[in-house]
Amino acid sequence: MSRTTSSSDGPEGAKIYNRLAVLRAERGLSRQELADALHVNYQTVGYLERGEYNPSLELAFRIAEYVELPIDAIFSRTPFTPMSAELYGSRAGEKV
Amino acid sequence: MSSTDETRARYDAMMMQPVSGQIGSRRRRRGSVVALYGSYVLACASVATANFATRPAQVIGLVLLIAGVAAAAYGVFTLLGRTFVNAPNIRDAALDERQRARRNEALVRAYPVIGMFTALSLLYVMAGDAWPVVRNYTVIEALFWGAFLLAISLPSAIIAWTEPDPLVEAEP
Repeated sequence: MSRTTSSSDGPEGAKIYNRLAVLRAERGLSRQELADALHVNYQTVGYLERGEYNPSLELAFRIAEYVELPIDAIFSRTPFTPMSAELYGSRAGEKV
Repeated sequence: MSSTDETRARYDAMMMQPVSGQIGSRRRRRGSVVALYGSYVLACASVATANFATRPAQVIGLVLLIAGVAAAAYGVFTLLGRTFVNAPNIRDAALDERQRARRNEALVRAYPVIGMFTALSLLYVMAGDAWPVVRNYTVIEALFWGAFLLAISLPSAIIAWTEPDPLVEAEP
């Protein structure tokens, strides 16, 4: 399936990685609850989590405000290191 | 505020409510697209058949016409309702940013097809008797209705055809 792009995509439609699924699971939220809080459709939350849609800057800020984290803790242009690796060192990351 | 203004305000508020994400399975949506455009083919076949003066041909034409109307009704009812599939005909305020992006993609893909169909239809009409093809009012009318059908439905049909199966809403 082709990825849905957005105005935030670069000329090549660069992928933006995010930790939305982990953050949502940590907070025990359903997709619908997160979608209601962000004023988007719950399908859009699924697309964001799978990296098939890059949010606009405005939506990215809304997400950051909602989860109370800096925007670069949620979104990145490079793949995130697994949280277990960040917490327990690189050896744990290799096993993940 | 007059009753007309109140009615308009209520209508505007209703039109700005977020659209449903319940768009059904892709298989069902593709069935609707096939039904909608199939209805056009059936209607054209019906008119072509009914032009023959014999009774059996007219009966076949009538059956094709009824089948075409039924298929068109199903296609219109399932595709052109107030869901995300019909995003090209829904106000911006009722869509989120991904839905607007998908709608814009569908419009960009639909415009060349609609333009090409219209241009070829015009060429056909303007060609006069130069082309060795059947050229009469019925064919011109069929081309007009084809262009009209594409213009009102193709962007929605593209979304219906390409949008993947929806996620389970309540999934934690």
